[in-house]
Amino acid sequence: MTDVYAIKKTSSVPGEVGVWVFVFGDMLVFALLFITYLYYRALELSLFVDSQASLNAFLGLINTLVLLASSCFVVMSINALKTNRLPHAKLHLIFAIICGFAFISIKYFEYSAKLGEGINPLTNDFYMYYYILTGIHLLHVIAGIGGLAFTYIFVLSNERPERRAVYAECAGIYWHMVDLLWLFLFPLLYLIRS
Amino acid sequence: MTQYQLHTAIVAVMLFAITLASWVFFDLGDSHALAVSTVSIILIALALVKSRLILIHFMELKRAPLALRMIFDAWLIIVGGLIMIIVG
Repeated sequence: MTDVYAIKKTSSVPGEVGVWVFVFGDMLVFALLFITYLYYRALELSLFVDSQASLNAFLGLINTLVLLASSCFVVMSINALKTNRLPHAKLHLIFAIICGFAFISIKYFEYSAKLGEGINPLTNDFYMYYYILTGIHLLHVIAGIGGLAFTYIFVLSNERPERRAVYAECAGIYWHMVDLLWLFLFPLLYLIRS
Repeated sequence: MTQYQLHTAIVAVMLFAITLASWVFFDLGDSHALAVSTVSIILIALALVKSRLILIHFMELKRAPLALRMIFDAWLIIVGGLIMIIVG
């Protein structure tokens, strides 16, 4: 079986340029959100640190591992697609989507627990940022699952073979971005104490 | 296992290992074995390393034109640097 990795000798844009424009724009928005959060956090540091301590950091860790695993599955799926192993490509994409739903479930559990304690976005400034930042990220996770599902349903079986990899890569690139953003959200919201 | 699959597996192991290492550092900060600002810097640095691994190897910027790679490296440096300045 030809190793597709050995074939790529010239530089090429993964997916399409458009998805990178979109991803970069989204990352700029999140960068602004991160800095805004940290700026206002610095003005009320003890309030934020005390509130942060109430978050379930272990669940955040599990969510980080879940998203990393999902990204691994997406990579494996696209590699399988490019080496003409369509059943493997579909299977790994399903695994990635399952991981996405696992993330949503854990988030739902977290939100429910907090809301059950009477902690909502209006409780204080930290919780406002917590709910908004993780909420916007959660919307991205849902959109990302939509992209992966679209790839599974419409692309892997129905799209012209030469276009399948491009569509799949675009959905994958967006999904990896969602993972990347959580890699910053997790320490910023759950872990850092200074 | 092909070369590509082995490469992916190595990157995956690194990502998981760095994540678990972050948890250890978080614990060290909580138990005051390390200063909280030191831990914060380390956690952000590790997040930057993981992000770059994902950008280069999973999102395949490795084979992309240099300009595209540099744009995202710039994001990591600027955003990461700003975060470290605020929390350090």
